[in-house]
Amino acid sequence: MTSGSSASVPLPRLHPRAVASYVVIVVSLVLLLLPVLWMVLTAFKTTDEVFRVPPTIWPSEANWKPIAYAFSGSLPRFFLNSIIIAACTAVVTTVVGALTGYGISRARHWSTSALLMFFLASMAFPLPLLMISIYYLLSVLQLLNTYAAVIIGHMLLTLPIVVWLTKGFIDDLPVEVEQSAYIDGAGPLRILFDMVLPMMRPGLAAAGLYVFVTSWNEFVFGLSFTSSTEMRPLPAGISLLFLQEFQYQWPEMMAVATVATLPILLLFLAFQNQFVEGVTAGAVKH
Amino acid sequence: MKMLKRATGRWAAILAASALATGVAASAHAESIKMMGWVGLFDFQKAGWERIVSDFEAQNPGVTIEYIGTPFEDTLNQATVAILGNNAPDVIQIASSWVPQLAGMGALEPLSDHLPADEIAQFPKASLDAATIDSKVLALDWLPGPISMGYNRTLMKKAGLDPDSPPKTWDEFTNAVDKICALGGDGDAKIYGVSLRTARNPNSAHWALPIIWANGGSVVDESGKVSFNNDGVRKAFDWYRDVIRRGCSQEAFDIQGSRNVFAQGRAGFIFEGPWLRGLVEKLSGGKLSVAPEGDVWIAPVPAAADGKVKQIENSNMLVMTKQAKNKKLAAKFISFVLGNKDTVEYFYETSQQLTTGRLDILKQGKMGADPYIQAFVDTLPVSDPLPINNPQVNAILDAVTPALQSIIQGGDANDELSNADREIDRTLGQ
Amino acid sequence: MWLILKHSPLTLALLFAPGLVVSAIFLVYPVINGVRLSLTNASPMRPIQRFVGLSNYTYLLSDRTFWEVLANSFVIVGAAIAISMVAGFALALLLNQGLRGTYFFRVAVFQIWVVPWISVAILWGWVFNADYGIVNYVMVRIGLIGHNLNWFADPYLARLVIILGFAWRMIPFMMVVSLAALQSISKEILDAAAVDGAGPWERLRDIVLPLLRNILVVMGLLQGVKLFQEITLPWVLTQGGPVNATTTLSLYAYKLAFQRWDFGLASTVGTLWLCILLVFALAYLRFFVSARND
Repeated sequence: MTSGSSASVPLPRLHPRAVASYVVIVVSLVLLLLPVLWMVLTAFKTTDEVFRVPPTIWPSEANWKPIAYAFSGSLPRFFLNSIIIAACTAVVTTVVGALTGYGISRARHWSTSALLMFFLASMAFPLPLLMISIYYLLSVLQLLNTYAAVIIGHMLLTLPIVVWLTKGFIDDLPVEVEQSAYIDGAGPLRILFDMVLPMMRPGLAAAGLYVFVTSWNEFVFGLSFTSSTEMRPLPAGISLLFLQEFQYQWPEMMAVATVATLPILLLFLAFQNQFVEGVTAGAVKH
Repeated sequence: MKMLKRATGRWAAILAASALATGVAASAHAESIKMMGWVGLFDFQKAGWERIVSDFEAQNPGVTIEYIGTPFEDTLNQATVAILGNNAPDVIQIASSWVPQLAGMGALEPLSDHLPADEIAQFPKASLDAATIDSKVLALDWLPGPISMGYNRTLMKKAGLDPDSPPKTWDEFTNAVDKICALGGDGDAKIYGVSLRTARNPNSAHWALPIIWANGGSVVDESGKVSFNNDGVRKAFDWYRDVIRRGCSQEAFDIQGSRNVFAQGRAGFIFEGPWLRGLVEKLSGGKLSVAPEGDVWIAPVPAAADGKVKQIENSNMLVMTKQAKNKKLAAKFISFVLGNKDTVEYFYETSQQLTTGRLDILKQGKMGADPYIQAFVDTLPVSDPLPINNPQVNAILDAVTPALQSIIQGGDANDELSNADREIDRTLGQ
Repeated sequence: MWLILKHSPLTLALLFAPGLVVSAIFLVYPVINGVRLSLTNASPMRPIQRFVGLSNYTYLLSDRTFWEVLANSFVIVGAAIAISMVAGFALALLLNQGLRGTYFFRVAVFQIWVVPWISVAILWGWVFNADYGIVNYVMVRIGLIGHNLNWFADPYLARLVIILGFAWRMIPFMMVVSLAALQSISKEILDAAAVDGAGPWERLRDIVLPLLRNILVVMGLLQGVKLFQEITLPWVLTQGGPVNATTTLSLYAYKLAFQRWDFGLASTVGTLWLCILLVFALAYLRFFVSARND
């Protein structure tokens, strides 16, 4: 407000357009968030109320039973499974991807450029095609229906993006610092762990968050590579519920959907800024 | 935390690409039976199932039942994944039509090798025949499922039909459907003549079989080959189209959807098994009663033009897997589930359905005195298990469902069914 | 740095070995093995595989379901990408005016991007429910339609529901990336154009869009490739029906592999999908990306 440029623009002239913009923005915000709002509202209604015509917008009184249902039966177990799987995938993939990304960024060579392009292309590899061979592999290794099976699936899903994200991030770090440290006698490993890793922290956080979100949301690997409640992640577990009796108990289903969304939403809300920077920097640059 | 350690341990193994893997099952109990199925997922069956588990565990100290709940639609796949992954459950609840697929994989342990012959002799002959391969019995009826016709007596009365004489021929049936459909209902709760399931699910094609038979069709030709492109099937699927286009049945509803409409009292007829009573009473919140003089009652499916009644027998069966660790114990459990009179009767009382395939138990005690149970028992002789005895039966039905949907949408029946047959030929030729 | 790394094979190995091993086992091998399986009748339910030559390919290419499914994939993914890009870019333009409070808007909208697909699927099933869905109710109320639509029974409506689900979930990402791209354009160029008398529309058409063209084109392609893989929505909502209206290539291949256990045919679908997508991507980039302002 105190800067010269905004003072030089006469406010009244902008007004009609700004007002129109605000109207459009608010209307689209409402439209976009309406489905989510409807999900949450329905989760607090009774089964009788959702089948009422005309529908009520606000629950006539808050019914907590559906939310309680979302924390009953096998669902807590599905949550735990998803948390373990997403966390493990985030750690493993970020480490592997960051090492590769660092290598590609610092070792400029035709082979590393080719590797980078390979990771880009691998995003187009059809998942069912990959899943078939991995399924065979896992069954030989006796790893079907384990966390490792799902973690592997989620890892190959996210590794390419992590490599690209971290590579882009490291490109922006000044290589001279590392070089002068080397001249001062530090070994490459020491440089990597003592200097590069601390500087990479925001990039790693963005990559880890991306992996966690993707793993939390992934459905097919969880469905096909697990066959017991003890191992099944949340989306696969929910889809199996949805196909069962609860299909038409909308409040319960909406409560489950809400509860599945909430943790990832909070996590994302907390780390969103770093993430947006990481992702958009990569997308805009390349 | 232990789980986490285990997972990362394996992870390291995989990274090293070593085939060294430790055993998967790490049960803390001395002895356990892993049982997969959907019985514990339905509210109306829960009490009976829990009683079976607790009684068996009480009678066999040190033994626990580990139940893996999988919805009906997904159990075959989940079981297949588990079997291929070498961590098969010991006992699986299956639909009778899955025996060929599981047997084709070599996954099933013959029950006739473990259960006494006089127990096995108590099961209906048709179901034993269907589950017998190489003269070994691989599966036994647990919850017999002759798919009969449920009808809404209240709606029949409203439509001017006699609720005590439900339609016996296909023409009478179509006529009744139209009359009930003509009731209309108010805008929000439209009344349908019949609640058909035509969702994109192999089960929709399976449920079409009695309608195909009633229209004089067959799905297996003289040479024993599976084929759907014949007059009877075309007639049946055209019937589907006409009923749905007249607005007398909903379109593309799945299993639960079709049950819901019927349980809301919004459909005259439904084709269902003995679980109908439990479902209707639960889903309607007790508003509909299932009794000879109540709101809903049952009858055999209408007869074909030649007067023959032919139903599908879609039982829930029990099988033991070849991978079962303690086969003797698994056999003991199966024998207990099917033959322990106390738990079988308690299961019946709480779920209102046939809770064993053993005719000796079905015909005595409280089940013997229940006209609802006996109405289904009476139709067992005219109920055939799926006539397609092929490991790929589910794939075959999955190929027929889009044809059914397309014909309902106005597609050319001959064209669609010959396309389905082409897919079936490929599946069988594999 | 390359010089340093070259003299330290241990460091090189540490950097590259994990990534290379993982991609060799779980990306390269599965694709090569997948192509090999497409020439066999492989199935986990059969102990012995047989080489069947190109018969999977001849069967598939003469199968009308395959062509329907291929067309579906392009229609559904293409429409979803187009809708989300136009909407996302338009929102980004609005937000780029530097109005106060738009940060809140960006944060709020971007949350949609993390809503799990399974929640979107369940939510869509409820919102588009034929008898009690809010969409039908509102549309009947404002007179857009005369009676409730059965969204999941009609092929066109079912496709539309899936497209809307895809697009809704993609809009936030498109918006955030577009916004970052817009902010990368230097203000001087736009101001200079404004001084020359170019209105907002001319500036958008003649300066902004040509500058951002490549970014937007590549973003559309990448997100499209990702949507090609997505099956949760049709899996949960329609199982690919009615008929095959919402069966996409991924759902089709997945069902062939893990429901019919026909690994051979599923691998064939996967191989063809990969080839088609590569050809499409090359043609698309060639057509849309201008080398001029790279």
